[in-house]
Parts: sequence; structure tokens; C-alpha cells
Amino acid sequence: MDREFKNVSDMIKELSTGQEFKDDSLKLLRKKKLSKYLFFLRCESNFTQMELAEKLGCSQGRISKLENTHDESLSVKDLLDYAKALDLQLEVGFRKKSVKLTDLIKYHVFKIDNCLRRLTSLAKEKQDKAIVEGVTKFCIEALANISNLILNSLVDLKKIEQRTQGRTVDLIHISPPIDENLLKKENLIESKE
Amino acid sequence: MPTWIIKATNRYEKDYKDYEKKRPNELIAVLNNLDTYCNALMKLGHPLQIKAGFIHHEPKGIKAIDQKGGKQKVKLEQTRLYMYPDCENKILRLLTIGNKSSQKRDIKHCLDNI
Repeated sequence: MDREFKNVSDMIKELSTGQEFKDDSLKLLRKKKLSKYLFFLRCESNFTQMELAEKLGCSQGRISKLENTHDESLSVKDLLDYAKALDLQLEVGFRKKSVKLTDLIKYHVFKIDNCLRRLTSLAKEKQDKAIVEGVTKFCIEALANISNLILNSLVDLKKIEQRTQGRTVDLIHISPPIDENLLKKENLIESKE
Repeated sequence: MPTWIIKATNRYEKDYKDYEKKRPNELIAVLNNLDTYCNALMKLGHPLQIKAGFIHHEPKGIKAIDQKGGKQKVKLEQTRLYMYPDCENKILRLLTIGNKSSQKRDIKHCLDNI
């Protein structure tokens, strides 16, 4: 039976037999998070290393090195160059290590609220029918998407709750349509004839 | 967008354990490249968009990841981790790990098992 994993780190944790090997491999993956992200950004923009090198005016080897270096070896200039070449804006953020996941979600909700207010005031400022319609359409779409995300989490949680209680009941039970012939057969309803 | 899951075959698990004992540096190097590949795959959703020197395209959509970019101080043996991205079911099947001398046999094994 094939084993399933969510990511490579989980696989290393499960399959490695030696503690030293496990620690070394996981440490390496942790140290290259940023460079792996640069790799993803280049792929997302559909550039080969060579094409990006031409844009940056450096060698392909340099790009290859940047995408596989330890994060501590990357300079802010490297990040700025990447951002410029891929037509992106570099944003740097700091947060306390002690910040909980729930606090992080709240932080993002406040950020969303802030952006939505800016968008609404833009519509108010411009007094343009097309802009107002566009913003309204976007808000409805955002409402549906965000509600859906939260609903997905709730559904997952409900499933976990049922599993821990040893039940495997569907969240929503839909009865099959009543088969009249079957009911007649079982003498549960009177035949019209 | 549904996320990809990684499935390790029995043969892969056996190869993984052998490499961990005999060639740990090579295994760490291919795992690092596999992690880079997987991170991009999870975010992009399709393997076609992922372009890198450590990916080799084998017949029938099989891909091989090599050890490039691993420890510079030690000379690493050429190593390949073979996998098959099943785009329809969003499953990345890890098939086997081998070196240059076992390449033909490894590719045949992969072709027989996808």
C-alpha cells in the first residue's frame, strides 16, 4: 500500500530511520525557504533561468545559485532585483514569533477590512457608475469566497469531531425520493385502483 | 484548487532507506530539489510550468530529479529520484531512486508502474 504525505518534510519525518539524517535534511529545507520561493516566483512568471538572467543582466549560473542558496546568503538587493525583473513589488514584514495562528487570521481580517474600506472610499470619491458596480461585484465575490473558506474549515472540523466520536455520518443527509411503487408493494399506501 | 498529495511506492521507500544508509549526502540533495519542486507544484498546480536544471524529462511524463546544488565540499554521485505527476488525480507518485548505472532499469521500472 502506497503511503501518502502532504509535503516533503512530512515524508522525511516518516521515512527516515536515522535521527541525524532526519535533522540535517529538515534543517536544510528550513534554511532555504526564501530561495525556494524565488524559484516558485520565476516559474509562476513562466521564465527559464536563462531568460531571467538576461533580464537581470547576470549569468544563468547566478540565478541557479540564488534559487538554491541558504536564505541568510540572500541580500536585499537580490530580492529587489528579482522583484524588478518579475514586475513585482517587494514587501518585507516582521512579526513576533509568539503570535498565534488565530491572531494571524485576525490580523489578515483587519488588513482585508482596511483594503475594502479603501476600495469603497475610492468608489465614493469617483462617483462613477462603472467603478461602483465593479466594487460591488468584487465585494459579493469576496463575500462568497471568504464564506466558502470558513465553511470548508467548519466541514473539516465536523468530520474530525464525528471521527473522534466513532461516527461516520454525512453532514447533510438527503433522503432518496419516495418510490410510490415500493410503498404500494409494502402496503404502506393504498392503491388508487 | 485541490492540492497535490505525495504518494511513495514500496520500491521508493526501500530505495530511500538504502540511500539513507549508503549515500545520505546524495539523498539530502535530491530531497532538497524535490521539496523545491513540490512547493512550486502545490502553488502552481501544474508541472509544465516548473522549469529547472535539476529536472529531467523522461518518457511518458516521468520526471527525474537529480542531486545538483547539493553539498559543495563532497563530490556527489549522480543520483536520480524518479516520479510521475498524475495531473488528473493531483498525485505525485514517487517511484524509485537510482544512479547513473541503474538508469535504464529504473526508467523501465517507472514505465511499468505508471
